[in-house]
Amino acid sequence: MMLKLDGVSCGYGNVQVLWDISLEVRDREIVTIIGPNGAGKTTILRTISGLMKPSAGTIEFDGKVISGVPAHKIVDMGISQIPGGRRLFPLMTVMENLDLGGYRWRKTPTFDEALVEVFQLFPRLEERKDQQAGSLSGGEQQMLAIGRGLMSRPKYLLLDEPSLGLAPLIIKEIGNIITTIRQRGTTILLVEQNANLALKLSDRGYVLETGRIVLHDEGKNLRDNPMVKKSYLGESTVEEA
Amino acid sequence: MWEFLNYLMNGIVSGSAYVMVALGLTLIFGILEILHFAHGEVYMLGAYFAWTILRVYDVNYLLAVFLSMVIAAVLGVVMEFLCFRPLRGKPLFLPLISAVGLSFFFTDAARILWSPNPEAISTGFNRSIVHIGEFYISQQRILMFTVAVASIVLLYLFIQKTFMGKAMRAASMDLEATALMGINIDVVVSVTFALGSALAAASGALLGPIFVLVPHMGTLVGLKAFVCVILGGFGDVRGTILAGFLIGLTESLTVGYVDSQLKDASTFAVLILVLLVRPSGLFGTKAGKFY
Repeated sequence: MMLKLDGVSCGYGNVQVLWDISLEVRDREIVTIIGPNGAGKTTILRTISGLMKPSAGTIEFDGKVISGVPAHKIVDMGISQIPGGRRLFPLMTVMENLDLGGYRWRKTPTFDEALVEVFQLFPRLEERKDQQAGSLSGGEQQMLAIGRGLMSRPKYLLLDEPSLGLAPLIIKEIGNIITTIRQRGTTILLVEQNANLALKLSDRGYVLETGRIVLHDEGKNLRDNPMVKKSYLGESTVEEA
Repeated sequence: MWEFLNYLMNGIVSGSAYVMVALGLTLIFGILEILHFAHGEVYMLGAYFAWTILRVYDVNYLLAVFLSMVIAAVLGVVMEFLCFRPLRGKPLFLPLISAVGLSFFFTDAARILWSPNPEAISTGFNRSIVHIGEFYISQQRILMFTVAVASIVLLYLFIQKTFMGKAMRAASMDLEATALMGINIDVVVSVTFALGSALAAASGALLGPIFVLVPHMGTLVGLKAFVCVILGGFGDVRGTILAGFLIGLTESLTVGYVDSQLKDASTFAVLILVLLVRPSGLFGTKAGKFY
């Protein structure tokens, strides 16, 4: 199984954001896309998820062309996105958010299995299941966002900036969770501004600048790459705890 | 004392009718942010559908109300598909114009299909009056109130407890995130229009026997339903319910103790007063929709 973008271009109205993007994510990999703000990282995920249609190129998943397939069907095919900024349903309870994440399994035993797994991964969500999502702390909200995304039992998980706005300790925890999710058999495509975290977790990485992929290598090679070091890791970057 | 009770009861009954119309508007606004100006016309059509069914098939009145709801639900889905769906994601004044156009279309269609002259629905319920002391109420009004309360409760349970209801609430908070949950937004929107239109039609079919049927009967009701939505805090279900009863009571007490000519004006006076004091509506929480 593989997710493959081939020459994908995409934009909003007349503004083209992505130019000829080709990348692939193979089974059980953690692949990361790093790049500065506005490079188009989120747009790549939005295009894969069916929220936007590419103006050129194709997206293939499991041998099927999925570009142009509506967003809800992408989820049914096994690709789930955890959107940037979490995008929880703030006035609904933790449990209701999870209900919605597991919508495709509603009223089936798979729903309960997914719920057990999510609570195993995030015991705190179980403790808070009747609390309003909007009242959770930032870290808890990110955990709920991930848990909600896992409720659909995806084969591939798209993660948009999971570290954004979180304290270093919690970022580290999120990193561990991402590794655990992969160990359980889910493939991960991660988009991050926090290149340090992302490259440490990843098997392979792509560097995106102004809508084009400028570099592609194994995670550890990218970490040693002088250009990446200079632009994205920064000499003064403080290592988290 | 008896007089007051009568006005109070009339207010509650017409309030419940407004709530039924306004709930659909609230749900539609909550999800699509469309000001659905043809919703009052769906109320009007609901009354005419029931009238026609009774005329042609001579069935039980309650069955006619139910059938009218079903026809309106289908109409709501078709209307959204043809007039709003193609405009989704476009600037919001476009669906607004579409809604205004629909409203004229329905009013004129009713004029042609039925007649510009007033028609009456007669049911047994309207003639039989229940009274306790000097307190009078027709069975029709009791029926109106009962059906309204039942549908409000059912709707509330539906959006709180069922998966589809949760999807509707989610869609009112974040349409795109809802799609990312694997939920088909188009289905959620269709269900919302079906439910909203059925409620408005039921309200028309139930109030029809109390008033008369004219093609423009929905215009004012639609506007008043909008007042409820605004007072309720734009997309807030509980707020809309309270606002509906508030408007009903204001009108009937104005008729009783001020001047019956000021009935309609009183609604809008309340709107202006409330907006001066609380611009986000009586129960609005700004962020909050559907709660």
